[in-house]
Amino acid sequence: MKITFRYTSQLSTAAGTSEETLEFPEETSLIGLLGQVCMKHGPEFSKFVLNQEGSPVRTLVVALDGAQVDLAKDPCVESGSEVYLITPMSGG
Amino acid sequence: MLTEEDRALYDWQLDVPGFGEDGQERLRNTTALVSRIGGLGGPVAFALAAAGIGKLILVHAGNLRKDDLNRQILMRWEGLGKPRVQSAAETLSAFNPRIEIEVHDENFKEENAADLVKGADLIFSCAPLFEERFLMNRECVRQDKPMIDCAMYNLDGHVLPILPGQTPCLACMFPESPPHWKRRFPVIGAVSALVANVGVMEGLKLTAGFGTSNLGKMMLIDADRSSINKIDVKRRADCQVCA
Ligand SMILES: [Zn+2]
Repeated sequence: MKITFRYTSQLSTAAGTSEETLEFPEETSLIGLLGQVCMKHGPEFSKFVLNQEGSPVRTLVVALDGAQVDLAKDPCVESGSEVYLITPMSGG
Repeated sequence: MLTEEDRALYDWQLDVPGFGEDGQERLRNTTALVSRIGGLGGPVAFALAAAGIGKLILVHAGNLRKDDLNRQILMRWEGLGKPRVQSAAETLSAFNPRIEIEVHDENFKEENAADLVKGADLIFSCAPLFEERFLMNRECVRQDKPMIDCAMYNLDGHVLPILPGQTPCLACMFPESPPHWKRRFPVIGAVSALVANVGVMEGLKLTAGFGTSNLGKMMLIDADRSSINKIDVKRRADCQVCA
């Protein structure tokens, strides 16, 4: 299945792109997908997404098809979905 | 009632559908607090002054440095080494002397938070430190004041309009400071001005009561792809600030 990911802020820098469409062999839950994306982009990316136990970090906001997700519910993601990963920013 | 001078000054925006004399009058009777007045807060204050806000409270400690000048558009070259709020007040007064301006050469902190928020109707969160942002969020929730959170990094930004008790607060979105954030980060002045002006539009719509509300949404601005995406955001049932 194909999923489009969008990244903001430090995640976009760590991924080297603000948007990418990735192919996954089978349907999986959101946190399962995050694990696979973290594997692809390595530790400089994954430190903004998952903690050492594999749970989402508390400052990560995830939106699925335009709506923020309750990460505790770990919803299933269907092919063609768009997953937005949002990390905090500030000013200066 | 608007004066003849008000009508002359704001002639081009009085015809904006839904805004009109009523919206202009509401703006004139509004005080906006802006913390701080750098890359985000500077263009926020400038756009509010241009729109005819009644009063600006500008909060920012410290003296102007050369590396501020790529984005802090209220500043002046001759202001280098002098308080930033001084440059900002001079720039805004020269631009529109009818705007009342109150400056504080200090940052938003525990000791001044309650008084600063109390004196304002609309608050813009533009500070670099998450501690300042969370404190401002907490105080706005406590006093039930609308806050527009504006933030940036590199070519990205977000704007989150917050109506306490009705929409997610900043702590609903981000319950703690991000551990990997760095105080100095890459940004171009045009990006900070873009994000700031999206934030000002939310504040103007909220205050003057016109246009399409984005309450309950976070706007994500991508200056690389020139896109603004919106996501529906949720209040956190266990939010330490607003639940
Ligand atoms: Zn909250």
